[in-house]
Formats: sequence, structure tokens, C-alpha cells
Amino acid sequence: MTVQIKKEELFSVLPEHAFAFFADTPVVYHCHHYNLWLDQTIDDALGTREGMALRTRTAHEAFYHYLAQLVPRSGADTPAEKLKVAELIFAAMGHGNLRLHTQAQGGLATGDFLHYGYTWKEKYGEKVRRRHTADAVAAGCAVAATEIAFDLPMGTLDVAEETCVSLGAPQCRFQIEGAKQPMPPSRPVGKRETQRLLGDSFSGKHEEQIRAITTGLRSFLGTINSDERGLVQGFGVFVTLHLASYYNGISYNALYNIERTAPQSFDVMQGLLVEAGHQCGFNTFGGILRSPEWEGLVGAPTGDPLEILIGCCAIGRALGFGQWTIQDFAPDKHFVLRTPGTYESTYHVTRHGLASSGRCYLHQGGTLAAVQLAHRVPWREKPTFDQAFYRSLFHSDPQWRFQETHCVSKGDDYCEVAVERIRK
Amino acid sequence: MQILNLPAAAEGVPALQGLFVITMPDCLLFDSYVLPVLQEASEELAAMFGELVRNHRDALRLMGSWSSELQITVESSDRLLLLRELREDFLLVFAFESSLPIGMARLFGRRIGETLQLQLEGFQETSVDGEAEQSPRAARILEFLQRYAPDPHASMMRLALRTGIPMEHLEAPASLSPQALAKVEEAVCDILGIDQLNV
Repeated sequence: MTVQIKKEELFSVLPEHAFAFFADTPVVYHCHHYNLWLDQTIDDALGTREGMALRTRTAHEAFYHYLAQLVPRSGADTPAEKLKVAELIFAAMGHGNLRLHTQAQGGLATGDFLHYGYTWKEKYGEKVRRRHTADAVAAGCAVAATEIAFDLPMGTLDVAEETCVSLGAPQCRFQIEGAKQPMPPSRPVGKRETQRLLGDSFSGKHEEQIRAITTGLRSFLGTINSDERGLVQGFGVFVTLHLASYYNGISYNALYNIERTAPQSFDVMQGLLVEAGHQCGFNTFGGILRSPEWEGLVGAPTGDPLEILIGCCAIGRALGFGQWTIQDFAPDKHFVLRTPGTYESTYHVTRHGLASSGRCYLHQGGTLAAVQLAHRVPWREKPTFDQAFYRSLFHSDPQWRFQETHCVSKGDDYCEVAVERIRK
Repeated sequence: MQILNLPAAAEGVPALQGLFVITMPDCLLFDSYVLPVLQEASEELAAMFGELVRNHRDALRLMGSWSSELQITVESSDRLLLLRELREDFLLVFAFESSLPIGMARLFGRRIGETLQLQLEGFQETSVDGEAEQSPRAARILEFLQRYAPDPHASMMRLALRTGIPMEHLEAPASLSPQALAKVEEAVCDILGIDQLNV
């Protein structure tokens, strides 16, 4: 029997809330800047060993729940077919080529062009030497796929990445074997759990324009396929369709670990989580706004700040970040972005309950980045969104400050970030 | 506040068209003494010169050279540029007429560099009450991190999270205890992927 993954049947969107799902699992598009920074922040918080353990465990759990939904809908019957489905979907999501040579008791998996290791080498390889493996997500997928393929409970097996291209190896290799410690059971945060938390949606200013661009962008994103490497490269970044539970799981578990063990570092960790969102927003949104595809869809940016913010709201929606709406904007003064929920807040409430303050770090960083793009980028000069440009703008002098004034995570009806100009 | 006296430092140096003092690693213009033709582009030039040196530093580092002082000369038909690091946090760029022999340019560059070094030290002593003198190693380690970290804008936050030492303590390196300094050293090695710090 031939396995097949019908993307159009498995991919769904809640258009009024701008959330995306694949096989009823919350998914979101993110670039390698965000992915690498977030993983790095987890390791900075917990130390490399504990950080890798958390990232691998979270990917294991997230991919187990995901594949448990996906594989039965693929037509795969045999373990070999189920493993094949996992390989195909992993590459289709832009995570690279993973090969699973495993049996019920474990075995070997190999990876080529795996998103994390490969893009780390591309971005940082000439600047710093890495001392530990990079592909917790591929490791988690490999072990979860093996468990699903052989109908094993989650946590039966364990995985370790033995070689990694980020360390100079020609290929990534993973060893899968029986777990020495049981994995605590967990319930997925899927489409149903997400929908349960969603209130009524709403619109903001310039809604028609944002909606029209979002529709066009969603159509365009639906046509993007990974290349022969299993990567999606476009807009100057490497893009993944990723499991929201992975991002949320590592972020909040590490954050609350820091709150317990090193409370003096809580704020700085929040700052680095926001920085992940800021890098994502600036690089990915900027890359999209500068792209020929955007010019074809909307027209080349003229540099009008409102035009950029409208574009950013549409991009945020199309990527699955939430129903970004403009509530208030005065050029060079302030900007208020509101959404009925984010993929962060819905997860947080489900898994961690209510918080004392906002917990949407991607939302905060992304909104700040939108304002920076609107006011600090010389669009007519067609800048290149590279590290030198980023560094030149943000090494000093922040110019804008932000606050998450409302958040579903703390019991509000919506999430809102207000950004205002710092006057000197 | 006038910190450097560039006209005095450059007095009597022939064929000098411009002198730029650039902060590193952020590549911002700190001070300049230039002919009008170069004045307008000073900020942009500072960013470009700073990036140029950063790139050469990266190349040197890939070749295993971590802490040597760097000097670059650029020769064109009408201009001779000399880029010379001053301490770890400043870059001097001299623009000479191309008619000046390169050996003379290096001699003037070294002499002006020594003069400006004295002026900067005087400024530092009066502005930070000698903190850097009390804990020179801590300050040098942080400067090293800022210079080589792949994302220098966030390197202090990363260091704070890795060590558990609050940002305000890191910003006053003289106050770090020996235990805290050991943590900082270990974290800087982790961030940069190196085995030991030779600073």
C-alpha cells in the first residue's frame, strides 16, 4: 500500500482567530532565527545538558501526540509505512530529511540537512564553535515515530543524538533504545482544547486590507513545498511548519524552572524569550515584505509606517500567530496590537493555568519588531535583512518600549501589546 | 563633553585627511577629525570600517588567532587607509593621501594611537573611579564576550541567564566576587564555544 499525506485535507485554519492546525494539532510557521534563539535560550536557562533533555523530551511528546493523530489518517498499516509517513511529513514541514531504521526495541535514525543543525551551521558556524548536538526536534520525532509505528506507549523508548552536522559531522545520527526512566503521561493540547478557550473574535482598524492580504498570503503559503533537502528556504530565512506545543512546552517549562530555582533571572529570561520573537518578526516579516512575492501580492513597500503595520498584521495571521488587529496607531508615537488569543496563551492556560502577568513572548517581540520595521527600515533602499543590519539597528538605543497590557494567560478576554516611543 | 583632543593629536602629521575614532563592537562613530569632503559620510564610514575589522577578526579567529592586535592597511590610487585597534573597545581609522609612504603612515598611526590611549585612560579614570583598574580581568572578559559573541546586543542578557548573576551586577564588573567571576568565565567559554579564555 502506498502512503500518502493529503495536506489539503489535514491542514485547517480557524480564520477568525488565525490559528492553524495539521491533523488537529496546533501548528505555526517559524524561521530559523526564532528556532535557534529559542533553543539557545532554553540551554542558557537550564544549562546545556538539562536544556537538551527538556527540548528532546518536549519534542518527543509533541511529535507523539501529533503522529498519533496523523498516521491513522495517512493510510499506513505496517510499521514500515508508518515510519515512512513520519519521514515524509517531517521533510514536508521543512525540518530536513530524517531516515528511520528502527524496530520496536529501537535502532538507528539518520538525518541530512536537519533544520536545526544545518541552519545553526549556516548562521553561526563561522563565528563560534558549537560543543553539543543541535537536533532535539529531529531526535524527538524519531523516537516518537518509532513508538507510534510499533504501537508503543509514549516514553517506551529514549533517544540520543550521537553525531551532528553542527559539530562538523557529515551526517546526524540518532540512537534509539529502551527508556531507562518512564516518561510522565501527558495530554495533548490540540484543536479541541484550543477552541474551548477561544472567545469571540473581533476586528480592528484597516480590517479589510489586512483580511485581503492574509487571504492572499495563506494561498501562497499553501503552495510552498520543501526542497530535496527537506528544507523550506525563502524570504531570506529557513522556514518550518512547527508544532506549537514544542515552542510552548520548552518555553514555559524552562521559565517556571527558573522562577523556582533562580528567581533573580526570571525577568532576563522573559527578555530573551521576547528577543526570540523580535528576531522572528524582524527577519521573517522583513524578508517577506522585501520579497518579490510580496511585491506581486501587495506591491513594494513604500516606507509608510501604516502600510508596514497592515502588512505585519496580515503576515502574523497567515503564519498562525493569532488574529492580529490594529487597535490604535499614531506614527512615531504608539501602536496597539490586539488579538483574541495567541497560540501561546491558549497553551499556557491549558497546561499552566492563569499567570500573574502576560505570557505571550512571541506576541510581544513580534509586535515590537513590527513597529521597528515600520519606523526604522529604509524600505526604498531595499535593505538586506541580515545579521549586520539587525546588529546595526538594535545593538543600542532601543527607541521603543512595549508592554503586554492584556493577556488571556492572566484571565483577560484578549491579548494586547502596546508599544510606545521612548522620548528623550 | 569633549573627551578626545583629536586636533592636538593630529597636529603636524602630514597628508592626513581624516581620523575616525569608532567604538567597537557596535561600530559607532565616537569622534572624528576630518576634511569637509569626508565629514558628511562619517557615521556611515564608521559602520563600514567597524564591520571590516569585525570580519577580519572573524577570519583571524577561524585561523586560531584570538587576541593579537589587528592593523589593516588599504591602498587605493588616491588614498591610504590605516585601520588600527585601540584597546579592545575602540578602532582608529586614518585616511592619508596616497603619496605618504606606508611606513610613515604606520609610524604616525602608532604615535597618534598612543596619544589617544592616554587621553582615553584619563577619561576612564575620572568617569568610573578606577573600577576597571580594580577588576581588570572581569572587565576584559566582558569586553571579550562583547567582541566575539555572535549576537552582541543580547550577550549580557545571555550571560546573566547562564550565570544567575543579575544584569546590574554584571554591569559593574568590579563588584563581582571570585566565585561569580569563575561562573562568568565558564559561561563565556560556553557561549563562545572555547575551552579557555586568554584575556
